[in-house]
Amino acid sequence: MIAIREVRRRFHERSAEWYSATVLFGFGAVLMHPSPTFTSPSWDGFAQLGEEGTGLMIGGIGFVWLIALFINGARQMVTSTLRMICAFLGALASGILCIGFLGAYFLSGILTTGAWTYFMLSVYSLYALFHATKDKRRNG
Amino acid sequence: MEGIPEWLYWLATGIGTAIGALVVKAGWNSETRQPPETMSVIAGALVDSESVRALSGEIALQVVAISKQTHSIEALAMAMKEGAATARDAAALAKDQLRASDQRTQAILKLEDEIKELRHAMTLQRR
Repeated sequence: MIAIREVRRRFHERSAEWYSATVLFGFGAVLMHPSPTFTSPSWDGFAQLGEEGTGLMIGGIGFVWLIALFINGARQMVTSTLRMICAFLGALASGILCIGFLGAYFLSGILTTGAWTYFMLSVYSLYALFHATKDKRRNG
Repeated sequence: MEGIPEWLYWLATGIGTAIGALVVKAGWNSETRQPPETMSVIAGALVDSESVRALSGEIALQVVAISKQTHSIEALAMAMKEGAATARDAAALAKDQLRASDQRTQAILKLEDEIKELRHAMTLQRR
C-alpha cells in the first residue's frame, strides 16, 4: 500500500513525533480504564484535574496527533498545521504531567520517575514542534 | 486530597505557551520557502503563447547551463589525464635514477675490493 510505504519512508525523521503521540495516546487510554489510577499517592498532584477528564484530554491529543502524522506521512502537503498544533499541545500536556508528578512529591513525599520522564517528553515534543514548523514553512 | 493549586497549572500553561511560540518562531525562521518558479512558468504557458515562448527560453537556458557543466567535467577529465601522464613520466625518471644509483654503488664496491687486494700485495712485497 502506497500510504504505508510513504509513512515508513518519513518515519525516521518524525520518530520523535510518533513516540510522543503514542505515549500520550497510551497515557490517556490507561487513565480511561475503569481501575482507579488516581487513588495512588503518586497521582495526588492531579486531584484537581480528575481522572476521566485528564485521560480524555491527553489521550485525545495523542490520537489526533497520530492521525495527523499518518495523513501527513502519506501526503506531504496536508496536515502540517495539525501536526504543529498537536506537537504544541503535546509539549504542554507533558510539561503539566511533569509538574503534577513533582507536585505529588511535595504533597505526599513520594517521588516517581514520571517527573523526569514527562519533562523529557515535553522537550521531545518541542523538538517535534520545531521540525513540524519547518515542514509547514517548506511545504505550506 | 487537595492536589496542586489551579493557578500553578495556569502559570505552567502560560510559560509553556511562551516557550512553544519561541520554538515555532525559531523553526519558521530556520527554513526558507522555495519559490515554485518553474511551476508558475508552466502554469502561465497553459494560458498564452507569450508564456510558451518564455517557457522555451527558460528550458534553453537550463540546457546551456547543463552543457556548460558537461564541458567543465570534460576539461577536468582532460586535466586528470594529463596529470596521470606527468606522474607516469616522473615514475620512469625515478626508476632510471634508481638504476644509475645501483650501478654507482656496484662500482664503489668493486673499487673497495681492488684497494683491499692492492694493500695485500704491498704488504707481501715489504716482507
